[in-house]
Amino acid sequence: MQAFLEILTMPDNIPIVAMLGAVVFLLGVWLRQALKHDKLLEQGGEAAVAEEMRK
Amino acid sequence: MSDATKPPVATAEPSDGLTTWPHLVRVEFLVALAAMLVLTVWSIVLDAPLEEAANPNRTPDPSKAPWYFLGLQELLVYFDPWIAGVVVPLLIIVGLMAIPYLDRNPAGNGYFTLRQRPFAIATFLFGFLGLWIIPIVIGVFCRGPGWNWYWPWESWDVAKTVDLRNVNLTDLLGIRDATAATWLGGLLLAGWFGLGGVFWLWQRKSLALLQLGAARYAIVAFLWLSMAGIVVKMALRLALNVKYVWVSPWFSV
Amino acid sequence: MKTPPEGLGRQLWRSIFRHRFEDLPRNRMLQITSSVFLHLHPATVRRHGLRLRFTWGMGGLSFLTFLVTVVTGVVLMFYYRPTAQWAYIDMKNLQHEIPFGMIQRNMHRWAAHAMVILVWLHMLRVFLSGSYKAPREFNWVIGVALLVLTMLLSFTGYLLPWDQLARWAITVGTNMAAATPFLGHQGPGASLTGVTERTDLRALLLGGPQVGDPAILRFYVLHCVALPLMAVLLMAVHFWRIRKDGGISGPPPPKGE
Repeated sequence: MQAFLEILTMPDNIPIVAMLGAVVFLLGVWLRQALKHDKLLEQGGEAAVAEEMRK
Repeated sequence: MSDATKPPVATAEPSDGLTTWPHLVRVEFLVALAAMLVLTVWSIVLDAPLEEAANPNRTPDPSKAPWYFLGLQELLVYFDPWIAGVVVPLLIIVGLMAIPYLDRNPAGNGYFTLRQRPFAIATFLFGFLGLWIIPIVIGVFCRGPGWNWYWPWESWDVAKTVDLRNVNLTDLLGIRDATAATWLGGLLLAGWFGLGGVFWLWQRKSLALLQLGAARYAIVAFLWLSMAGIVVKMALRLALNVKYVWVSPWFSV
Repeated sequence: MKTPPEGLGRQLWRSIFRHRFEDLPRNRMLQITSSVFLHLHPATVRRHGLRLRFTWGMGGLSFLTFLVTVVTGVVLMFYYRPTAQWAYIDMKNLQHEIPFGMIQRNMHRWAAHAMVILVWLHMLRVFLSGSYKAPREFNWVIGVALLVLTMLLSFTGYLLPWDQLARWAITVGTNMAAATPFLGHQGPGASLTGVTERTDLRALLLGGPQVGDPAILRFYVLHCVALPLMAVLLMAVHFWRIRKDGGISGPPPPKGE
């Protein structure tokens, strides 16, 4: 466990940890948006999606 | 008097009428401010590494490329340097550039969706996450001295012995003669990419393939099968210690 | 009736800023169109383009980190000599003697790493939003070229501290070039073209058969001059094309807009 934390907190590895966090977070944002839009596409087509994106 | 002689009318970009100043500039300013804050704090708290002076007589073990190339260095375990270091990067660059010309699906232009573009999204995430990000993570956290596998919690002080019983695919199939091995290995490789042709024969009437056309489909099939082929070769190596799928007098894959 | 002469302050201000400051639509437009820094933006935008949940801000952040690396890089250039004899000593000097030297170096390195990551995330966002589809195909190609330049900028800079990490990372990286088919002395087909350790692609990159003084100077020039110039050129095309292709991507506007 010690070795793991050592590697994880090396200054040169922090960007990679940050990148992994960013990728997970942003893919979450994308997935939420994509699923919401998929529902809207069934109901109202692209116009409904355009309306939601403007909010 | 035809329209060709009149100067073209500039068409306005679509707009909601929101003025750039202040709305867009405000967003940009706030994001830039936050980013500069993060960067400054980060630069005060964490120091960039500076190891001992360059010494041509002492190679560090493991000797790692910069982290953004560790994905390619991880490939060196499974492929020869000219494939992992030259062919794959070139394929990645050319493949990425070709995406807009290979994707004929008009849906999803300018908004997030999953239902309208499942193949494109699945392929891209497979490549980006599976074949780029994950190998980088492995290269950073799971590779120690001798490029052996060390779990992140394992200390690098413990030496590991390397299993060197590598065989070729044709050896596994019982072929001993070199010429026969070259022919069979080449056939297997051609067969793998031939799967693209089989798929075309099966689905050539489908809307997606009709939209693509033969040339685009051939390129998509080649790139997709190459990506999948990398994973297959990795699996063969890990499970059966296969070193080469095809051995020839000129080069081996 | 004679008007009073224009005040000095007023004349100074009006000569620089070509717009008034009352919050009128005309002044809002002029803020953008009359500024060399801002005029690449359109005067009006679509509302969804402001939403970070759509753009993630990644393109702009990539540009920001590029600017940070340029500014910090210029500062670092005052204190660094690209030779095997002095590079490492100058790095030590920068970190321990020069006031704020360590922060400058840190900011340069972390902004550089951040830029690589942000460019990847920008590519991810553009792909997931389908913003590479017609008419924006060529801008995507320019973007991939910028991605390659970003990675090369990072790679050439990695060597310059000339410590063990730098020297051997670049050795590993350039050894791949030695394996190029026909052009590398350890690649397939080397016997056909007759390239040697001194005349192959890797030797071209390093200025010789080893990673040494010629490599440092070569990478230094690439890192500080050649690659940034190419990057700026391609960025100009990249930003220009955004306007020409119709502004920020988005779903088709409803009829009548």
